[in-house]
Amino acid sequence: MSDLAARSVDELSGLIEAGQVSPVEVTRAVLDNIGRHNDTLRAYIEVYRDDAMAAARDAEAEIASGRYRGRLHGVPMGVKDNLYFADRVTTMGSKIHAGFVSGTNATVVDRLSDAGAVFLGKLNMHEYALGGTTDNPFHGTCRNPWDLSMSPGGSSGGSGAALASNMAVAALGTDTSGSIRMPAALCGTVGLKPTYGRVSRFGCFPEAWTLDHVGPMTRTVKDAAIVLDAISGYDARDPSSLDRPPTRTAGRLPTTLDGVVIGIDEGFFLADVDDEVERCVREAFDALRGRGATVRSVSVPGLDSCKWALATIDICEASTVHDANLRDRPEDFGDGVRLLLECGQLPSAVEYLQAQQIRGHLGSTMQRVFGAVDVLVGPTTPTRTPRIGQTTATVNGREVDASRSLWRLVGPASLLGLPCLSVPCGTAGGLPVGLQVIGPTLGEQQVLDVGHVLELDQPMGSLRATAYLEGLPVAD
Amino acid sequence: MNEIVTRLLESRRLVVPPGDREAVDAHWARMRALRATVDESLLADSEIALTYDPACAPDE
Repeated sequence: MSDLAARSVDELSGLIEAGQVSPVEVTRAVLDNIGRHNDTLRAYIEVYRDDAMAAARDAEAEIASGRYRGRLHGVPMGVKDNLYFADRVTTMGSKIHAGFVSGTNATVVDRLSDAGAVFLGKLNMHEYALGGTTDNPFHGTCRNPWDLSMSPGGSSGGSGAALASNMAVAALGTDTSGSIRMPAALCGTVGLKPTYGRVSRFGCFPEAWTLDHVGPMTRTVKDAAIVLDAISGYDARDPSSLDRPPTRTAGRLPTTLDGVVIGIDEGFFLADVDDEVERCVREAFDALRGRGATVRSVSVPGLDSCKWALATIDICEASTVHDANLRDRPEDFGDGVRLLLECGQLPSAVEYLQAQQIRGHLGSTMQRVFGAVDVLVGPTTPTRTPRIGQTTATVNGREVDASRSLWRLVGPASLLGLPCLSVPCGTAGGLPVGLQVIGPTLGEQQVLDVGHVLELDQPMGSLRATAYLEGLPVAD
Repeated sequence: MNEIVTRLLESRRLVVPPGDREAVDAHWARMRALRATVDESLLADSEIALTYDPACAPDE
C-alpha cells in the first residue's frame, strides 16, 4: 500500500484493525522517512529505531490475537523532548539536561503506551521550550519542510516539521505561550492546546507552571481528537489536573455547524495582520458560514493587556525554574534563553501579581463573551513565516519583530488556559497559514467541531510540503 | 546600562555578562512600554475593597 507514512491516524487505525495493514509496515515506512530526511530537517533529537520496530511487532501480534486496544494501537508517534520516558534521556533541548534520565514516564507517555502507540523517538524543540524558532544551538536547527530556509516555529518545531514531512503519524507538543499552535500553523499541520488541567503535566519539564499545557499535534483535526481522547483525564500526580474524565470527542465531530455562533474581535485579531494571512482567514469564515455557522463581530475588552501579563508571568516563572542554573552555570544556556531568564529576574512581586490580576479579570470577561458566542476565531500568527536566523518577519512587506508578532495572537488563550486549535486555512506566498479557534473552558469539542468542519472544505487543496524532499542545497 | 535595571539586578545578586546587558536594557524598555498600555481597570481585584469612600460607609 503506497505512502503509508502520509496517512492519518483515522485512516490507518481502520486498516490496522481490519488487518489490512500491519503496524510493522507503517512504522518501517515512517522510520525510512526519518532516515532519509532527519539530517536535513533535524526534527528528531533521538530516534528509537529498534524499540519502535519491536513495539510495532508486539502490536501486530497482539492485534492478530484479537486484542485490539483502540485507534492508536500500532500507530507510530513522536514525542517532544521535554516529556519524560523512564530510563531514557530527556534533554529539554538543552545542554544542561543533555544527560538527564527520568525514573518515570510522563503521564501522557503512560497513557499513549496503554493505548498501544509506537514511540518513534524524541522531537526537537527550542531550548527549554523558551522560544519560537526551534533554532537549537545544541541539537541542530530544525527546518520548515515547506521551505528549508524558513523557520518551523516553536517551541514544538520538531513536532510540526516531523508531521509535515511524514516522519510521524501523530505527535505530542507542549504549549505555554503558543508553542503547539505556532509550529502547527507554520508547518501546515494541526495543533490543539487543551484547557489548562485537561491533560496531565506530570513528567513534563516546566517552562512556566501556571501556563504549561501538553497537547496533540497531528495532520488532521480528527486525529487531534483521537489523541486528546487518549491522553486527557484526571491525574492525581498533577496538582493542577482537573477532576474530569477523559474526553470523548473524536466520535462526535459533526459535518455541519448549524446553530453555531463564531465570534471575531477584528480590533484585536485582525489588526496589523498581513493582507494575505487575512485573506486566508476571511475565506475560512466564508467556508464556515457555508457550513451553517453564524460569524459575527464581538469585542473583548482588555485583550491588549494580555501581552504584558503573559510576558511577565511566563518569564518570572521560567526564571524561577532555572534560577539555580542561571546563577551557577549561565554559560551553559544558549544566548537567547539566558537573556530571557535574566529578564525574568527583573519584575517585582507586585508586577507578577498585577499580571495575575489581569488574568483573573480577563478570564471573567471571556466567560461573558462565551455566553454570546460558541468560539472565537482569528489567525494563529499575523505575519508571513520568518526566515531561519532572522529576528524579523514581514507584514505587508514591512519588517516587524518576529518573536513578539508571533506570540501576539496566541497569547489570550495561553494566559486564560482556554482550549485553542490551530488548523490550516490556506497559504500565503506558498507557505501555510493557520486559523485559531478558541473555546470556553473545557470546550474542546466546540473548537474541534469548527476545525473539523473547516477541514472538510479542504482549504489547503492538494498542497503538501515538498521542499524537504530535495534536501539542502550543497554549499559551493 | 539603565540605572534601574542595574539596581534591580544587584538586589537580585545576579551577574549579567557584559554581552547581554544591552539586550536586557532593551527588554526592560519594551516591558515598560507594554506596561504603559495595560488597562488599569484590570488591576483592581474585585475581591478587595481598594478605596474607601465615607459616603458609602454603612450607617453606625
